[in-house]
Amino acid sequence: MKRKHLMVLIPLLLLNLSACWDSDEIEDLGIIMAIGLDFLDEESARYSMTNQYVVPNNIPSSQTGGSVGTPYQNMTLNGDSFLSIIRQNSLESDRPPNYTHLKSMVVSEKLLRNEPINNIISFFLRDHEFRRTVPVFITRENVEDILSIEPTKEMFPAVQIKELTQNIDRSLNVQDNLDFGDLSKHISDRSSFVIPEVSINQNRIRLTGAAIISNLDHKIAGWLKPDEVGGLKWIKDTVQGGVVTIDEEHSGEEPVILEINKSNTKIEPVLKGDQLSINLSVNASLRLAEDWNVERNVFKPGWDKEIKKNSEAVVKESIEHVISLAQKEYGLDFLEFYTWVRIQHPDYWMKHEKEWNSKFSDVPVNVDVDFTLTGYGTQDIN
Amino acid sequence: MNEKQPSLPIIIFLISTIIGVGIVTLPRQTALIVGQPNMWVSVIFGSIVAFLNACLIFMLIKRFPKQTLFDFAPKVVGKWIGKLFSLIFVMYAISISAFIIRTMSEIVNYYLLDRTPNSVVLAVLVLSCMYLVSSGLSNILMFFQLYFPIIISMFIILTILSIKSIEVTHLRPIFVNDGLELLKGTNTTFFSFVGYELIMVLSGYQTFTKWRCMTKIIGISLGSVCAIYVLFFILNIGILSIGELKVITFPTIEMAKTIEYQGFFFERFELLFLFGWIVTIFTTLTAYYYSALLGVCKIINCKRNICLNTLVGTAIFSLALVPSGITELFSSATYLNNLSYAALIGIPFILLVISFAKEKFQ
Repeated sequence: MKRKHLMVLIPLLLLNLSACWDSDEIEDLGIIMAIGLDFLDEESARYSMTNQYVVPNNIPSSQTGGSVGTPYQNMTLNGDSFLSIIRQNSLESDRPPNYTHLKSMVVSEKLLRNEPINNIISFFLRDHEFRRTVPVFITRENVEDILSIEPTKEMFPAVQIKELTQNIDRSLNVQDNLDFGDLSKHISDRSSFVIPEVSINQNRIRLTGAAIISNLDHKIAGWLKPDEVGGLKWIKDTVQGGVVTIDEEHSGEEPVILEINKSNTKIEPVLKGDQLSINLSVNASLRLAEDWNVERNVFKPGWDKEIKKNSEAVVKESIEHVISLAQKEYGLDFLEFYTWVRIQHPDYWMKHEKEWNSKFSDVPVNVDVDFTLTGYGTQDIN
Repeated sequence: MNEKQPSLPIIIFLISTIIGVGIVTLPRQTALIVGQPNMWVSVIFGSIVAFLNACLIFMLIKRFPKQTLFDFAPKVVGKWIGKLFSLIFVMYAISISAFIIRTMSEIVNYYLLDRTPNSVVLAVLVLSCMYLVSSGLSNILMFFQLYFPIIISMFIILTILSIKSIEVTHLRPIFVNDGLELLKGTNTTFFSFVGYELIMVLSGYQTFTKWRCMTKIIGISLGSVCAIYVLFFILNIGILSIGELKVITFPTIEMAKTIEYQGFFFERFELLFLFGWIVTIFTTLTAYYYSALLGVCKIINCKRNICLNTLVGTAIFSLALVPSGITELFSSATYLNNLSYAALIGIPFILLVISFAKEKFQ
């Protein structure tokens, strides 16, 4: 019996003894931080792809002090398919590209105008090296330019782009990252959605508005300006902070700026017979942050009445503006009202899922905004 | 025979055996059939069916204490038909082993070792299993107890890490009045509870005669597997959504890939899941391998030896290499399901009826 055991054991040992014969050293990997995709439509090549490589030797360390060059290197190559471009990299770089630590992907407007997004993303979802957490951005600038901009605080432009959206609780105009997973969900749900936009402002990367992707042809249908992104965030209940400005137009006096503490949006589809309507109610608490109308006495009861009324009007206007954009101008439900219809009225949804775009355009939406003012800060100067 | 026999090793054996490929592929299969956010209810239905079937099997083995299926089948239906039944069961055990290890090797190929040939991954697994099986059932039980905490802690860690990315809207509405769809899904979910039938083999090692003890063993093992499956279904639906589940090849692994903590030094949590999961595949393989080997020994009336061991190992290994790709592999599951019906419900039912009838007429 002993010998028989040995006969099994020896082949097993052989497998173990081979150890790390085909290992890859981490320094020899070409770790890619960002991908930029662009559309060329030339005779020789349809697409261009920018890969941002890490250059490990140029990463400043505490021992050597200052660095010699940038810690990243962009390589832009052209080809007819993404994988063929990636393989072309091997003709110019000795390090095989590795995408497991990809931080962001930037897609040009031109590409999304010409190719449906499901065709573009298909390869990246199929390949196992790409994670579902890679955020996607769209840009109207040249993709290569965006990825070559010296980042302000981070080491890599790729990280800078991705981390900008961490300020989601600072500004109403910043929306959450849209990653591969979200993108894929929208595509398999056949819903319209928005992609955050990045642009260049005085040689810095700046988050701007967003592009609307249609669920009909999966291409760009239109754009949202930065303040329209704010309205969209109120609707989608993703407001985590930011400011509401009451300007002279709304109050007839000096501007008042409020900071958002907490916000909650409820969307309730109401079905009467076969008539669907949607009640959208926003509840938020805000704080008086900046007041140019110094005459105001916040110690007098009822000081907040007018501010409350005006701020509600401002937000209601911005929400209604985005809703009318969605319903009238584009006829696309990128507001994700369909989620709530599906949850609350599954039967209705089953019946009208196919024609939701046209149904959605005619659904009356009642917007109700209710704010609470919770404070005015540490001092009120008169 | 001592009266007090520990049931914990048996429970651990059953849990380790039942959890297998189902946890990775079941969410997609169920989503394709049910396609509702409350499809995890199907899993509970599946476990109930499995429990009833396990009770049927228990009624059978209760009549033949200290005997395995391969021992009592010839006694009930005669030598040759009994051997045929044993052979069907052996074939079932071999094909289910081949199926799970092939699925595992495909996943290892996708996510871990993309340049290693399938056959090498399979050979490593089969060879190490061969070694474990050659040392007997009591060692196998011990091995399972050793790895059980690793498996369970992997599930717990993964759940804790991914719970924050659940989007509740994906899980709603919970109460949709389409029970028929859920029942249809039961046919699929039931097969992920396969593994409890091995009490027909364990019954040679330990006597099961009391209903109370048996319902406890079956109840706890099926119940905890059901809890783990429901939990992972909820995580899968909540993180990926139903529409996505239909198109992702291995949903649970993709779900593990969505775990991300900004600024944390460790990024690839799916590896954690894969390492734990490969152990569960290994335990499942060991259990079926052992049953097949025991069956072969009993059929040809000889002791367990290395030749038969190699024979069974080779059979599993070569059967696992038959499907040419992952699509063929998944479609071969239909044949496997039919074989399971025969081995799980058909054989025990026929044996039970005949043994009852024999008792009546004598």
